[in-house]
Amino acid sequence: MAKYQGPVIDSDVHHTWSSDDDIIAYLPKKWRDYVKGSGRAPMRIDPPFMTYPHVNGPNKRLDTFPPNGGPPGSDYETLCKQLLDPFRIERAVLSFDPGGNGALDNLYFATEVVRAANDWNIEHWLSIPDDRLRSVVMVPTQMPEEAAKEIRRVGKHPRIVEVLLMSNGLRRPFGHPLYHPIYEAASEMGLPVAIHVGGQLCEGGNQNAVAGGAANSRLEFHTLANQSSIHYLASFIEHGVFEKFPDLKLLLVEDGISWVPWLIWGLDAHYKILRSESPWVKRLPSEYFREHVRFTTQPLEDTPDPQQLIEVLEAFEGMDDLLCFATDYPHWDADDPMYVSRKLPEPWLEKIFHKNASELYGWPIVSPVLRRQGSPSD
Amino acid sequence: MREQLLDASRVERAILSYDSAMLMPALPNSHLAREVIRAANDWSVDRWLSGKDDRLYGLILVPNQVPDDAAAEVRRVGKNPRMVGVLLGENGVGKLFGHPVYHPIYEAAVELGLPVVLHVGSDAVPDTQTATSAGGLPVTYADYRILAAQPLMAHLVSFIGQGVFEKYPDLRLFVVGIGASWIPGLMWRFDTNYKTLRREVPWVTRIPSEYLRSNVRISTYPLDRTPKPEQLVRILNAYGGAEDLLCFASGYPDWDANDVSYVADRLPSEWHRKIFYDNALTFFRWPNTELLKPRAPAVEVGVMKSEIV
Repeated sequence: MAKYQGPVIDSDVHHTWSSDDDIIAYLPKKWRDYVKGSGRAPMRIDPPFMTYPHVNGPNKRLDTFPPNGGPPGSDYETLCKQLLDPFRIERAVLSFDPGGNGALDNLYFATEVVRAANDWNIEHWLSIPDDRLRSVVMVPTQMPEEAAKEIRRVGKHPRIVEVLLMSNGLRRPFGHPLYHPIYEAASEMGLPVAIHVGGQLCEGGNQNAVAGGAANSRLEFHTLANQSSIHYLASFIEHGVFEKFPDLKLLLVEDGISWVPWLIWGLDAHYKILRSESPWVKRLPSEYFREHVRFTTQPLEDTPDPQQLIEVLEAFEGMDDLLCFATDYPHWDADDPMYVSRKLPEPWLEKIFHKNASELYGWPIVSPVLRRQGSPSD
Repeated sequence: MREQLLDASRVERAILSYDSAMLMPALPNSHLAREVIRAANDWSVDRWLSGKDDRLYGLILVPNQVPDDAAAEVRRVGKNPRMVGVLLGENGVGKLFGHPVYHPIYEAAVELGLPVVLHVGSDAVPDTQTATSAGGLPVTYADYRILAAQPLMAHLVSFIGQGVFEKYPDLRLFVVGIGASWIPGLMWRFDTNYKTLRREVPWVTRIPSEYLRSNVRISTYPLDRTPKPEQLVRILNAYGGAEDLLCFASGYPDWDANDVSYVADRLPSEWHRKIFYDNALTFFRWPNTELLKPRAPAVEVGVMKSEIV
């Protein structure tokens, strides 16, 4: 990383369990019996997703499978070796893979699986004496009141830094009032809410992953996968979520960025109509947007000339205050810091690699000194 | 219309594109849909295109719920020289428009040298059983109107990803009613993904943006109301070649219609000739357009090859 030498915060790293048994052990007994009754195969604790097979087999980098078995993202040593150490990551937000367990069709079971996963996460990952590790609280999106309870229960942990929304449990755009108990709890705990791409693909929330009909290939789906997040962002503004919860921050994960001018200009241009229908929207949508919304960089659009992407962002009067670097490790299309630092203007890099994320998560500006004190891998 | 649009704006050719009639293809009774659409096309020819005003041209609405019926309608009405394109209208099957189920329509369109028109509102009514936006339904009009671009983007991605422009190299697609500032955001993402996922769709032999530039045109209506006009031009310039992609459309008489002078003021004058005139002139099938024999596909669409580049 010749160009950028400062600290790096990675806002989207996918970690997971080695085997479902890890999570099942954290379920209350009656649910353990439900999952693993005698004489039959255990039930799945991950909801099924729509079937878009990946051309690589898994949607992971093939080199990220840990040497001792288990799926990519399940082994701390491999994570250190492949990501945290070589790229000098000061903080990594572990975000499950993908964290849609709240979408299991049996919503009571889903709620218990989410709780178990959060408990496992704290005991298994966040108790590792490595100050680089931070993580998220997964929530049962089909039961917003239960989700709020879970945020209040788990969100006190000092290394839990974000609420993760993945599956769209109630089949409404996430700004809908049905979901507001989640934002109330997140606000109360001072946690930003992250929406991760892809949650409309799983059971229990599966609808309208793409407008107009189901995509017929992974290429087409992956290109259109951000359509839901685009709608969620519009709905947060339209339903006045940021008026109701003025301290709430929203992080959109894995949605790309070059579409943003289209949406925000469109919302501003329709402000008169918007206000007549949603009078609680008191400021221009672009104002809420700049104050409350952040994006992860991955997957950064790979334009023929990097300057083309910059030109779009500059025509929009800049997004350098809104972008937080993320690798998306260990997914197949992960971006590393060198790649991103080559693509973006040098004056933006300090903000994008650590300052914006520090501000979002309410951290003091991190420095390489902190890492050396805290990391056993040094 | 003559007073408010054609005379006032010195319009030389106007393509009449129906209004709410474009919802008819999704009527749950497919037989009824076919008959009312035939009636509408006949009415359009008799009432509007019978020579009273030679500035007027029309689109053939098609009963796309039964694509073979739709192809028959294209062949029945498409010989009329005043019909210059095929209007897909509402999504009748509930699949994205690149899906092979719809291909008979494109075969007929290519045969008659007609472009296919994809208009905003394609997935707007409950009859479609599809969604007008991803991630749940919008609850307000503002939300609906902005996100009505989403199904069109998905249909466009589907046309390219499902190899429609490989199977029918001469097919032209006109995307209407969602402005232009979305182009870089969608197409760069598509191009980026193509580099890594193209093995899944070996019949897509070129980067998606190339199909956009060779086979697709986009209406200026409704021109994106950016805070400053130069912002729109700047992002279109970043993508490049917008002056060759856009065709002027007023949207008359919709509430957000654009008049000629508004669009002219907001786009560079060097672009005007192409956007107001030349691009549409070479894209639609006007009377006396010489019909060329459609080219055969260079690849087999839908067939996986054992050797993948």
